[in-house]
Amino acid sequence: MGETGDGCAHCITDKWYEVEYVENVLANILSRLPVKSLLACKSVCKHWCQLISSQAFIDLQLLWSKNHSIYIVYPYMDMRMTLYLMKDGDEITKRITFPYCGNLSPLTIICSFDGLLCCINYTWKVDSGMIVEDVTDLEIRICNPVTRKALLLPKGSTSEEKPSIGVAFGPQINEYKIFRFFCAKRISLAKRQSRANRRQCEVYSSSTGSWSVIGRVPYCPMQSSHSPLGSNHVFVNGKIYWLIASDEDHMTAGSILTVDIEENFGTIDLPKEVTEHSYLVDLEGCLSLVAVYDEDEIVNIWILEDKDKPKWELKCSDPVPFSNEECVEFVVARENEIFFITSNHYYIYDLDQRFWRELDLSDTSEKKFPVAVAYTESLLSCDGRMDPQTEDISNRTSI
Amino acid sequence: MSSSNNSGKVLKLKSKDNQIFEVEESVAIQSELIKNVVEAGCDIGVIPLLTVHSKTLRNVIEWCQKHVDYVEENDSGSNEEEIKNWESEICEEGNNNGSDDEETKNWESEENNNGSDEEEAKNWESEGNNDGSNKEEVENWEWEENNDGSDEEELENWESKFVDVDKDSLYALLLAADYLSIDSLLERVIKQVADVIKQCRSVEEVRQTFGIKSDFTPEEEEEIREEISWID
Repeated sequence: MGETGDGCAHCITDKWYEVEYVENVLANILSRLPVKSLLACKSVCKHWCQLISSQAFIDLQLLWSKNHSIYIVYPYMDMRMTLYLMKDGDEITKRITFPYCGNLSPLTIICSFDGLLCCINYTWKVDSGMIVEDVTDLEIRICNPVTRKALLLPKGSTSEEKPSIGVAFGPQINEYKIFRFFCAKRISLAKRQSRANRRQCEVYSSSTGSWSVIGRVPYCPMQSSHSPLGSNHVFVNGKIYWLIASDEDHMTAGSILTVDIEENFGTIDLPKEVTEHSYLVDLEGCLSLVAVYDEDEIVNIWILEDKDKPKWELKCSDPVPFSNEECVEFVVARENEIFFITSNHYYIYDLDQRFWRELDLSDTSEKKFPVAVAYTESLLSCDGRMDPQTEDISNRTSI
Repeated sequence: MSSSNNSGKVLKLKSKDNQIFEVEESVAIQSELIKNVVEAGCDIGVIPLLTVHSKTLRNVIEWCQKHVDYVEENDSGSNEEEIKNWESEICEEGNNNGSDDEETKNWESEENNNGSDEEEAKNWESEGNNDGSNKEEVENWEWEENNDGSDEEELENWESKFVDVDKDSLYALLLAADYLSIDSLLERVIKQVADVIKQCRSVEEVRQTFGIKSDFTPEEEEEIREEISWID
């Protein structure tokens, strides 16, 4: 038989040693395991531990996991801060809590990317002897619910208004940037600076671990009517897209604000006038605008064909299964389907079959304002990509 | 470049223990390694597979054969096309009543009107113009060939039985699939080994199953255990 290399301290049988010896085979096998098993497998032996902890393996596991995404439904305003996972179909199969998030004011999930969740919450402050929420600032956390790690980002610039957040990921796996729109304090008492003039944007980069101010921006994301903490945004195809309020009606979108990972801003027109029930989602790698027209009880689903010019294609227009007394509260897309959360129901719309199906999530039906995200398990660390020089057995710990 | 799929060409593969296996090219090129050898024109004589034992190679060939058969039987896309082509051919031949009649008339008028000729013409007409039975045949063929659902299941069951073997054989298959670059086999065996790991209920069981010794010091092991103490 071939040479057995320079001795394998941990393998008793030759045959399995051969398997481990072949590059990538063991990594491929392990990448099929759920993260919980992987964490346990770190204890098997040093070789397995080093392999599972390596950035290369983490990237590989993510690639595999991305093909098996599931929905997480999250009842915002739930003091127990529990995530409800829906694996294998349309039922809730597992519950997990946010790691390290006890004693916080209610969190909401801004987005989910590559197994990490970005969540925000107001901070507490004391006002007239009472503990209340400070609505001018938000705490931002990145957490990995399945490896039980969380990272609280450093505070951003002081803001007079509630900030808006958007998350971009890339360019490499496990790198991300957070864009934060805030309203700077008036710096000169003599000159009256309008709020519009004081609106600025800053960005947090996972590679620097700190905020840097970009400066004044002409537009700010509009606040979402149904998720008071968040603004509807989506990161797809290298850009973050937010809805911008129209001049006539602050509750309705007028156009779209974009920024790319290199921090270049732009705007895109909407394809058509929309109502306040309009959402941006990532549909199979393209930006999609899901616009519900309550009066007509239909939904239009548009796809942005060219990400540089505003060229929209109407992918489909279908009647909605709910009456106009119900309104759509949240929308998220996964593969070729769109998950709708309305006042009283949950629906999944299959774009290929043009078919609606209703879900029965009796567990969460009594909760209000549920949020849903498409989620995949991963081993990604909350504080970003590992520096290759510090790859070792111990993970860099976060709070 | 010999790249035709159904040339019926037979390749000779030699296992590590010097056994020769004759395998049809269409089956052997399920292996990317062998496919590359063939495309480079180096498939003269015998192709040596230095790391694959005959016992394993026999199984690998069986896998490849099954998958080639499966694709041929159930390639519904090309089946439909074939049926359509066949149908239109039949229609052209048999159902062009107008031109057939004309042709037979012309033929009849050309030749002498012998009894035997007329008979022949009639036979020809009846052979060619049997719309009913042709369509029936086509329908039956369609029904047989396009039962996609259960065929896929059948293949999955076959695959599961195939990989239900002792560990040493499984590892041998794994190494062979990797060496020969047979994606379908590699995927299935990888899944099988991953399932074995998933079924282990403790870290010690994983070690025992694969014959692995822990090389951690007690302190290191304690550190790792603590990190993940919330599991189970």
